[in-house]
Amino acid sequence: MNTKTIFVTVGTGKFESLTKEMDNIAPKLNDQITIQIGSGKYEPKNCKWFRFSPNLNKHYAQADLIIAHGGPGTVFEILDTGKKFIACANRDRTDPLHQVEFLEAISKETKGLMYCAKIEDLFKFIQKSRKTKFEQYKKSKCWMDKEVTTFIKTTPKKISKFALFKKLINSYINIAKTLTKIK
Amino acid sequence: MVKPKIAIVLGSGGHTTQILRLVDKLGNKYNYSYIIANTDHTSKKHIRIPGKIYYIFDTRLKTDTNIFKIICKFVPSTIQTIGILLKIKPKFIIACGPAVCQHVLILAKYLFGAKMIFFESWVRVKTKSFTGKLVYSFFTKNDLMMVQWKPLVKKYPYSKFVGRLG
Repeated sequence: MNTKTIFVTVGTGKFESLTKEMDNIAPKLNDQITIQIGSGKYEPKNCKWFRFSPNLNKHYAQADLIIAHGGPGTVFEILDTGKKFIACANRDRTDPLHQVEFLEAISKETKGLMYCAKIEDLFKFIQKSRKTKFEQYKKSKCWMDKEVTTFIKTTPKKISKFALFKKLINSYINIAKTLTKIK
Repeated sequence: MVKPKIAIVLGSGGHTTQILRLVDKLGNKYNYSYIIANTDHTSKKHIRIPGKIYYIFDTRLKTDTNIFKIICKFVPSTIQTIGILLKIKPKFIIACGPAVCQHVLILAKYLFGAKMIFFESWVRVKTKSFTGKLVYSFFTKNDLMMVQWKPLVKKYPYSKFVGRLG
């Protein structure tokens, strides 16, 4: 089996269970593994690791397979690279379910990533990812800016007193005109 | 023509990236000013369209359960916010972020008559966020609420589905 490079990232927080699991399976895999561990306390023994890096693009480019947490910022960044990608939901967080929900939805939409629901299954997913093909992710349409610009255009500006006065007089004139027509 | 003034509340991390992507799309048409939490040091570097930058005390709740602590955090931040909003006098206020934006949005609407523009984060597929719930209870029909996933539209009756920024 030829060696490949695997890059693991957990974002700015911590994701102890993923770093531990990756450290445990590292001897079984015949690959070069680098882990970005964030602010986690557990320090891996069987593979290279670092805490933070201002730019992860270099690591993404070198890797054949990327494993990451379910933070959408990271997920969209990696999907754009088009690399093989396994995402795990981080249940250690204060709001544990929102990453699960997000990853379920996005994995239904594209085949650019594999969603690993249980961290214990990570080894199986890594084996599976060697055989499967990943699709390039197409960015979804977004017309948020148009919505905002139309909203800003359509909101009425504050009417000054002079303009209000003008409007009043105009309406009086209109009434007068209609009255004269009736006669 | 005078550019409309827009105040933008940057959250942190992912919230900042989302809002700044929206600002990039909106372009140079408006006069922006940014409000940042003072614990957040990374957001300032990412701003691409220049504008005035103001700092407020961070009120992010996260793990706080003590009500007294929360009030202690909110009071100085509220006073600061009023001062900042007096300087900016925004016509519109955009936010998406965490708890930092709640009182800024509400004060801007009810004291300064700004229109609220709020969108739910791209993680929210089916469930509302805490900030979303709280801010939405202050919404009227004159404000704009947007969501980035279709299932959420049903939960916010006035909201609009606008596609996803990612």
